[in-house]
Amino acid sequence: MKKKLTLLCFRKESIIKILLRMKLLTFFMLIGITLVSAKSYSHLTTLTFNLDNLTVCQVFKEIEKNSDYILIYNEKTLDINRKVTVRAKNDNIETILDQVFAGTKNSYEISGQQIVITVSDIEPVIIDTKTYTTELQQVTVSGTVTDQQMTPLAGVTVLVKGTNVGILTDATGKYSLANVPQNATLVFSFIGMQTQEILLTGQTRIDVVLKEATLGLEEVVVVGYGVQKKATVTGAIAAVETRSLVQSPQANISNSLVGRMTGLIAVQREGQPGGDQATIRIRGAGTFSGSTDPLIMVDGIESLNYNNIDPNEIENITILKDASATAVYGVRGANGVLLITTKRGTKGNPVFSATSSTAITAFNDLRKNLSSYEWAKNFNEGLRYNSYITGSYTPKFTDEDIEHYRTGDDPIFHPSTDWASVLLRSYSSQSQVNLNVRGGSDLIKYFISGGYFNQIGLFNTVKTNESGFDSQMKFKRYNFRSNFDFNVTKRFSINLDMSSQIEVRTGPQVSTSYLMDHLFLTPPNNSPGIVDGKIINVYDVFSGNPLELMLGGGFSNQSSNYLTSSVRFNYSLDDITKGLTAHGTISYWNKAINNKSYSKDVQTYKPFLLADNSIQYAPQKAEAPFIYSESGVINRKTYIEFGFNYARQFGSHSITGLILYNQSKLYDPSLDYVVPNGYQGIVGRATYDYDGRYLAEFNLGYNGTENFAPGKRFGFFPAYSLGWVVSKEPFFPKNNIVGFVKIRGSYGEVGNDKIGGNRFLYRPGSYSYTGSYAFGEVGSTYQDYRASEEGLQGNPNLTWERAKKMNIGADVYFWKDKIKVIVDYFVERRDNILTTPQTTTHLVGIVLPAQNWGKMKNSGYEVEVNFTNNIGKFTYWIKSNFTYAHNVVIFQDEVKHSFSYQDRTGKTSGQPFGLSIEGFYNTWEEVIDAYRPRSSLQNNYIMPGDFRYKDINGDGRIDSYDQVPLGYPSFPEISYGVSFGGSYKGFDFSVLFQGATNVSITPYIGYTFRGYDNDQSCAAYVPELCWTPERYASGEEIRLPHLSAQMVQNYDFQSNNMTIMDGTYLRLKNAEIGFTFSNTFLKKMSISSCRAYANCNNLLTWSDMLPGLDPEQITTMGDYAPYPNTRTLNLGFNIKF
Amino acid sequence: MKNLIVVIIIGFVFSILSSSCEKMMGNFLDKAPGVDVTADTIFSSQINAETFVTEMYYKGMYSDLPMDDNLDSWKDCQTACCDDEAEEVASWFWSHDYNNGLIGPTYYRYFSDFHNINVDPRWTQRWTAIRNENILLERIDVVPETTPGYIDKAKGQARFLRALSYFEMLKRYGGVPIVRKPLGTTDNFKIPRSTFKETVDFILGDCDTAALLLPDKWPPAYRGKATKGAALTLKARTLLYAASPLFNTNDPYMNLPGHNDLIGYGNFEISRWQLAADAAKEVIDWAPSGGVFLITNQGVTNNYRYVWEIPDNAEIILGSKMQGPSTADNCLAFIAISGFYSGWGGTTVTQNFVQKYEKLDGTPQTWDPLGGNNLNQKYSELDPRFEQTIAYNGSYWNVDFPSLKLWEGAVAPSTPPLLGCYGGYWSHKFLPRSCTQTVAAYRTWFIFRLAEAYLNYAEALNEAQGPVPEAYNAVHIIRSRSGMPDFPAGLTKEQFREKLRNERSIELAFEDHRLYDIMRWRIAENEGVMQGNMWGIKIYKQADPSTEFSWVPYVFETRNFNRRFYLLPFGQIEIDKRYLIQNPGY
Repeated sequence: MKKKLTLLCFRKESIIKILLRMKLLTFFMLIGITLVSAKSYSHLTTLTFNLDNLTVCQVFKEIEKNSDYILIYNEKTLDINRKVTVRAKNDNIETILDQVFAGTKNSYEISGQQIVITVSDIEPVIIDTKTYTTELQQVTVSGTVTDQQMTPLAGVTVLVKGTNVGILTDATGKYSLANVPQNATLVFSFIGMQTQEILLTGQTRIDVVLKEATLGLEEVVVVGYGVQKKATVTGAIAAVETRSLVQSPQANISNSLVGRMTGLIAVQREGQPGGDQATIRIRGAGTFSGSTDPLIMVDGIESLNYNNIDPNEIENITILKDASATAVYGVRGANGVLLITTKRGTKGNPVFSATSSTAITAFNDLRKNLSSYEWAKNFNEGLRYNSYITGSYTPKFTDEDIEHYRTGDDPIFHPSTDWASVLLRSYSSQSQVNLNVRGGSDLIKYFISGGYFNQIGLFNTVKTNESGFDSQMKFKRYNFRSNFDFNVTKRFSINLDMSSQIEVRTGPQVSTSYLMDHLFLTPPNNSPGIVDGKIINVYDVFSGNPLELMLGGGFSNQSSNYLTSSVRFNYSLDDITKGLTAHGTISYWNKAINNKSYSKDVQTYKPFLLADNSIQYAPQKAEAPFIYSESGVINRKTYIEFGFNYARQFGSHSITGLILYNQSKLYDPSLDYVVPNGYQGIVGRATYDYDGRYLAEFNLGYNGTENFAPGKRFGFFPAYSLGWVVSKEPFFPKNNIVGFVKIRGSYGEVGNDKIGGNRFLYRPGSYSYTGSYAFGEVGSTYQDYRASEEGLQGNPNLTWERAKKMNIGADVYFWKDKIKVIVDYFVERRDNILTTPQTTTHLVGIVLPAQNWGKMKNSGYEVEVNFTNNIGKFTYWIKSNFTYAHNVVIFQDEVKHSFSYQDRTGKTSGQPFGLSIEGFYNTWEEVIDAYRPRSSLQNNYIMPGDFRYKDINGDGRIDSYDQVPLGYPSFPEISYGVSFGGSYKGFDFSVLFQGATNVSITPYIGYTFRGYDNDQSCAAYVPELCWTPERYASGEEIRLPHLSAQMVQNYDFQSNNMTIMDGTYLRLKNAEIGFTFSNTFLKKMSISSCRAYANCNNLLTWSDMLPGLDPEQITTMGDYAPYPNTRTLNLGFNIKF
Repeated sequence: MKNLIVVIIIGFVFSILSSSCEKMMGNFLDKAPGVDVTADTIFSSQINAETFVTEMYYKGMYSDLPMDDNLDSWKDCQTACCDDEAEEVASWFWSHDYNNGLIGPTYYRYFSDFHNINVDPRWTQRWTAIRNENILLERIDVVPETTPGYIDKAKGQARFLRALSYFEMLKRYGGVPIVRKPLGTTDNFKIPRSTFKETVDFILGDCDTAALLLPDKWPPAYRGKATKGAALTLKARTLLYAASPLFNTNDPYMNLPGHNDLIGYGNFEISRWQLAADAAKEVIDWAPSGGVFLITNQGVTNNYRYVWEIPDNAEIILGSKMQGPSTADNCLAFIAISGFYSGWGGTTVTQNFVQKYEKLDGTPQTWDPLGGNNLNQKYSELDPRFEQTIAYNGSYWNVDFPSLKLWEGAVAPSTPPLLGCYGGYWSHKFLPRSCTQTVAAYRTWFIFRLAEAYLNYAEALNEAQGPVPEAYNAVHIIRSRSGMPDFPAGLTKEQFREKLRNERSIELAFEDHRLYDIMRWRIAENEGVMQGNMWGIKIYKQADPSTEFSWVPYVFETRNFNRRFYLLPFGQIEIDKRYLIQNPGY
């Protein structure tokens, strides 16, 4: 966690003062695993003392009173009654302690808020045995304490309950405690872990697995421009564990978040290497016009490339959902905020962590096509059906052709090629390596990480006689990050962060979706593929040979280089008032993309049968020249921030404050007018907390954006929130069932300036020189003249979208925090949505300027339930999250439809409309029924096997007026994840199921269901699911209309219940099994821990989509089939030393 | 130090809370200087203003193909394919839906565009054009330092082009809303339809003003700009339409209760024909001063073709200059023939239309309903304009296709044109013989040519006064330059009308006249016009050594004309905005 953290408070009462005698290295490291992160505390806290002649014990009490430090010591090795004098004025703790221990053998180690007093003595010592009078029989208890990954935990406090007798575990996690009463209870506690109590029932060896206190009361969470204690947070915030991020080997962070956080809904539309990131929404979509993407911040600075950060570099990820949490982002916070915090150094010896994994990847599912025989046979059948409209039936394939296809006796002229098997391979590989080190001293702390990720696509490496290109897709990424913290003086510190991501994408020049489209739609009889190294074309149907497309388009190499560097200065202003700090940040971001393309049209051959029955291959093209081109783009962004933090406690009152200024400028040649894009703003926050019981918070964003006119450019975005920790009230009954209850609520306003449309919308209507018209006489004075066209109209009154967000939530923990339930209900009303006037008439002759007219409401709820328990040594946990977000367009200046059910207002944004299918026309009697509604489509030529559409308005016609809302938008309204896992000794496992519902998918090709248009291939399921009289008679499942071979059949393939498919799915998203080695051998090798694991992603999917169609993949109009999503099976290990 | 920082922080907080904080933030977010062009830029100099004048032509001249939805794309077919002249071969062109009677307020053209496709795709373009003209009229006066007369001529062009857009709407819809200024957000943009009469008068007003402001002639470098003659011809055409039976009647084609004044005058006045005749006469009288003449010096077998084949010839009063030169691949892409180069479709001419060509002696050609064996002979007897308009079996297309083979079973190199050649003919008009795959040619599209004025004059005069000598003379001028004899003397008014309508369809064939002539004459429902059977011929080569061909008529299409089609519907999306009264029957 970063040094910007301003609020770090640890409760003192739970820590027992104990002597520590071993190195605390691993201890520190493990603290960092979860959200606990207190490393920076000592630099921010200064003390002023004038203590004359007090005992050491009294000095310690003073320190504890005036700060959040906790002193841990052993009275045997420390003379607590020694008198000392301490003078300090805004000095940090080290100065004070140095005075206290001057001339003694004692020294100290500071770890966050903990100060452990040590001596040169190295014996483990039992504390305070004299206070324990023994009457019962006593035993010696020993054992090992580990975390859930079976990593030994050093420095765990093992205490006999009700006494001060205890010991710390050693570096291997072992402890041995003598003279323990037989019926005593041992308490195992460790910062960041849940405290465990074990009743002795005669056993002398007790191994304990401590669980991470991920949702414990001691945690802090990252919020906008700071951190807060989880217990006193009043906003709606969700965090994901780091462990989950590195668990699945994903190229893109967004994919690791799926199913892990309440409030986050994600879909993965593409699967291609280097381009398979998920689209994420926080609490769904709040606007129908502007951007719905959340704001992404990495280490406090807006990021445009968060997906390519190495997960091993990440300390934690938080999403901010309600106004209270996002108001500080003002004009950019309305869609929620995703915060990523990277790891930082910790004081101590360097700890190296090496991770490596290798995976095999494969497509989840692929569309299977008919063989040439089946295809040709059904083609004729489709034509036979079409003859009802076309009037005549001429088979496309003769019986002889079909027989050739069946027997395969003429592989050149009657081929049956499965293009997927020619162009795709069944599996490919992916690997990832990361090595990082973190450590530090009083002066410098560091975290340095290097990573490499390599993903290979699933194309076949096709070789022909002349193609020099490797058509395989490859994605390589190199990650580098170094985060340094310098304590320049006691008050002044500097953080220096540098990171770089270098990506190299190579592959065919032609887009993969275009290639996939042709691969699946090229008919099997098009060509035998490659014969003797030659690409053969037999028929010139559809759009050519996919091999030709793949190789002939050439090869592209795109390298992208992202560089981020930032410097932050922190200065303590304790001498002005205690708890005040100032800071400033300068950051620079750079993106350089270089595209190279190489291409040379490949030769194709057409076979000819010669008289002697031999085959000659004639080249079809002239030799093409080699073409090379190169292009590049460079973007850069600067960011400056400075501000003040204030944090102080007065008795039971805690107050914090924050105020900061920031500005940024993005230079991107693709921006309109080629002028940079700027933001500027001020952030303020004040929190108040009484005894951790009554919580209040005020957040303010005041910021501006270039999109609006001076005077309308800046806005205030305030948010208020209150919290009440009921369980801390004196009247709250002490009980074992409900341990913690917090109720919180927030209300506030946030903005969105990415409201669609061009930049500088406030400026007067612009004219452009687009058209031209010629005057003059042909042959002499004829000339084109430039015409100036009235362009987009400006609107000086425009302003941002304003989201009014309300959130009510409760956190309730049961049974000693074994079950934690977090519930949130939210309502967001967004207005000022930029709306293109639709009710203006065409008489205006131009699109009138957009107005802030739109209104939308988005509401929903989230539930998170976590359960952790253990049965003996078997520890298990279940985590579940559920998010529901539903929006309604309240106003969008819509022209009222003739039939009100067709109005888009009042419905969900993106609601699909279509004809409602009631079933099929199954017999000619039904078709010729005089009372059947007449179809305006296809000239009312309907036949058995066609859909029976519902005549919604009862006018006896099926036409566009009968389109009704069908299904849901393409982004799910409901998303949920359930994960569970457990560990036993060195073994651990976890499983994540993730699902979504209330979603409709319109698959990528409208005619996927049908085949044959323009001689396309046909999916294998079509004959099995289509209507035939026989299948109807036998009552088999029928999902598709009768076969059809020509575009003339439009009637069945309107937007309807079949083309708008239910995209509900459930996936086994991730499953993992791991083993942690823990033995002396490793120790000899200086390895502190080693874990090997195997996991898989997207292993199973349940959905009602047709085979080969992924419930997450759609395409917008005009696109092609996306590269299918993949699954991975991954093996890896992690070593720390 | 301490105090200073406290002051800074307090000042910082205070300034945020104060009202003038936006000023404090400085000009960091102001747009950097860039290349902004606004209306002020455009009307700051004559050179810039002239670009906007050019824009008026770009949007305001109706395009090469009159019903195209884009200004210069090639997606649509000629209106000739909607009447008895022709049919479009490519099945996806909209003429098929029109001919099948599928036009309606939510008429859909393509399966993917199920919603709200306006039947008249240029509807919105016309309003943009009118907006441009209104902007110019509103702002041109402030342009500094113009050359003398520039502003008047710019206004004249704006008035003419506005009238042209209004006329295009008048003939499709009847009365339409009149918009006299560029509408903004605060204006009432739900302007109701004006009556037919008001719309006509508005057009006439603009024409009269334009005629006063525009020059007779532009310098050669500005050929293509509207002249006084263009304004006069538009006025003549408007009056001709207004006097025609569709509008000049007390018995409208359908009843629009309470609003019959939107779809016609609501009464018949014969004087309207005289106004039309006078206006046409004014064009004829003006012509010499504009340097406009009928082409009569190319020979009777070539005068007619010269007019449509040679750009900027003297007969053109106003031509569209939207299209530059193009090679056959572009030029022929869709109005001509699939199989010729990369043509997509083709305008296949009907036998119904070919039968309108008289014999050289001025009598009708005889076409036996059962066919015959003498096709070459039949063709050779026809009006010379047949050969100059139609691509028929054995005719010359260009060097690549010197003799079209349109008979059943013909083989390469000219077999492809047989595909979809339902009528047995293709239209050649507007596709110059010089245009090949490698040689780009200019195509000429007339808005007005002088021959129309003579035919307008003859028609109006006959209706107003009967077949007076001036009417005969006007017809004589047109027919004689193509080697055709005069109308027989002594025709009754009705006989003259019938002969003249036939003459008009021949002379102005494929020029976007016939469809609207049929409408204004109210003859669409007559068998073989826009209702009923469309005939083609199948051609068979006779056994060698004969070079003759046999022909057999057959019906290739049966059309439905719904009476409501006399005027087009407004798109449902506009009707739903509740300011337009829909035309009857929709």
